[in-house]
Amino acid sequence: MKKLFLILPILMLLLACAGPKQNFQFLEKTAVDQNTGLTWARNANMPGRQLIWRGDDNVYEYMKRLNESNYAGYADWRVPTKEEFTTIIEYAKSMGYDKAKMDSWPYQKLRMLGFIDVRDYEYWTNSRQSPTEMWTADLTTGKVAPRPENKPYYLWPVRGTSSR
Amino acid sequence: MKLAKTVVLNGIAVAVLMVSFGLTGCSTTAGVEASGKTGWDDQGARILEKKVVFNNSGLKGDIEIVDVKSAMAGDIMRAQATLRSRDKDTLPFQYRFDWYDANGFEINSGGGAWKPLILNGREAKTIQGVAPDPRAKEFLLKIREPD
Repeated sequence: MKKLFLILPILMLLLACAGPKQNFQFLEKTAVDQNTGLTWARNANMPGRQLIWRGDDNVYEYMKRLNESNYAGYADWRVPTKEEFTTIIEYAKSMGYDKAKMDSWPYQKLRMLGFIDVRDYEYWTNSRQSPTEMWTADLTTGKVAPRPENKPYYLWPVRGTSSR
Repeated sequence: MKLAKTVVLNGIAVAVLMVSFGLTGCSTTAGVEASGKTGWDDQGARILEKKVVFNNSGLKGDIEIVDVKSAMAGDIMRAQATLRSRDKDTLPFQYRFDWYDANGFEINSGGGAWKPLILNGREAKTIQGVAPDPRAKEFLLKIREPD
């Protein structure tokens, strides 16, 4: 009984430190979401800059080149949907989100998980709102909302089909 | 007598007007024009917006622009048009590609020479043009009768 009183606080401490269950299986270039089955590029800023939607050297052309290069052994990379971005943001927020604490914002949490170069800015989704607006995902606030299409945003490729 | 004079004057006025309208009509560039402009669809894929214009030309009934297409060779725009003669006889004409940047400004303004081409009866031929530099996002193919 005395032993149990000693072990119990240690167990509780270990559980508290463990945090939420690790959702992603990280490989060299990819991260597989165990819940949805989606494969995300491990590097969340592969182009190294923001891209435009319509124009030379745009998102479409980057994705075409990425698939032609068979990146990480796959040729079916694409721009995530707004629902897919919402899922990864919700997961990041589930690890503890406080609007007032910068280190709890989604891009920081995703970096801590093991993703590389997650930007504190907006990302393209492939979901269209209107002829001039696309949905974007803001990894600072976690907000997924329609934004003007004529602005440049970051690109984070994904592949596979969500099982959720 | 006065009525007859009025009728004559009115007739002259109408004739002058008709001639002036005719001259105005003829003052536009005679020929056929086919334009292609780079655009992007909703997915961001590059597309070619095409337009063919017949400017009060004698060629209008003789020549048909069957197809206009464009492709990128690296960052240089290339254009191609297929022309077909509707005439049974030999049809000589001249053509030229003019190139414009994304803002519609002509590149190398007036630099392109008119090239001669002959279409035999009912014949179809393909002509090609290559942009002078990567700024080109739009082209205009001009076709006219020989001098």
